[in-house]
Amino acid sequence: MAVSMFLLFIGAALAMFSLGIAGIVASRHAVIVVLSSEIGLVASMLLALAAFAYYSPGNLLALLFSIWAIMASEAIMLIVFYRYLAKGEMSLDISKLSKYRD
Amino acid sequence: MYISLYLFALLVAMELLLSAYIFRVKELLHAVVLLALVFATTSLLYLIASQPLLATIQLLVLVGGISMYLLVGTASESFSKFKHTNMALMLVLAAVLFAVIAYPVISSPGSYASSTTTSFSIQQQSQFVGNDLVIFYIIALLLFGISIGAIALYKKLGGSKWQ
Repeated sequence: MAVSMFLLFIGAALAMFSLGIAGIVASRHAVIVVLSSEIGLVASMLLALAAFAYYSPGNLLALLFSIWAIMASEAIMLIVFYRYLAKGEMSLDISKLSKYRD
Repeated sequence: MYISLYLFALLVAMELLLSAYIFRVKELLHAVVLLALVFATTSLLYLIASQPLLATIQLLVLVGGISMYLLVGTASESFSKFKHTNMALMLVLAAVLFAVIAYPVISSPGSYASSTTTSFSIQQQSQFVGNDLVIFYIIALLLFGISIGAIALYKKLGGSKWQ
């Protein structure tokens, strides 16, 4: 086979990562922005998995646990922030968030 | 090997489509469900990479934990009143970004192919699929279905406040 599975995994991870970053840039919704960052983190996990599966430099689990912890923290932060804004009937448009400064 | 490759292509296409569709939907709840499906698809990709333990943990932590938390959090008041994503800009940005970061890999594939370990094989997959992993998957899917059903029922009974 001309292209190895390793390269395909890298390609898939990079495509996912690009989509996540583009989503962060192009979206104005606070929740969608955080969901985009989750997509970026999923892509990073996929890339880490491919690299560790092929080069076996050590234990992958520790790295993945760190990424999972970051994702969980983001989710918790997102829900708290979201519930706070929704309760106050505030807009979730991030271009208007500066109005809530005071 | 070819089965693995086709499965991989199908899963990656599905994952990218699901990810892109997150930016299309107006309901945040639907976006979160789509994200949960992306997590589940990633877990299946772990299986193709012969990493059953990681796939199981991925299912438990991301689909069972984080997604459920997001689902419950966004189950009410989840309608977006404004067009939140510029799809054309996002797709162009994604394509440009992918071209930029994937270029070093695509331009020299030989340096990545000469790794020390073997490639992912179908034999490795069939070894663990026959074990208890199938049960884990069924349990995770069952729990996921129950949670979605509970939220749908909650909304039907008028438990949420729609904006």
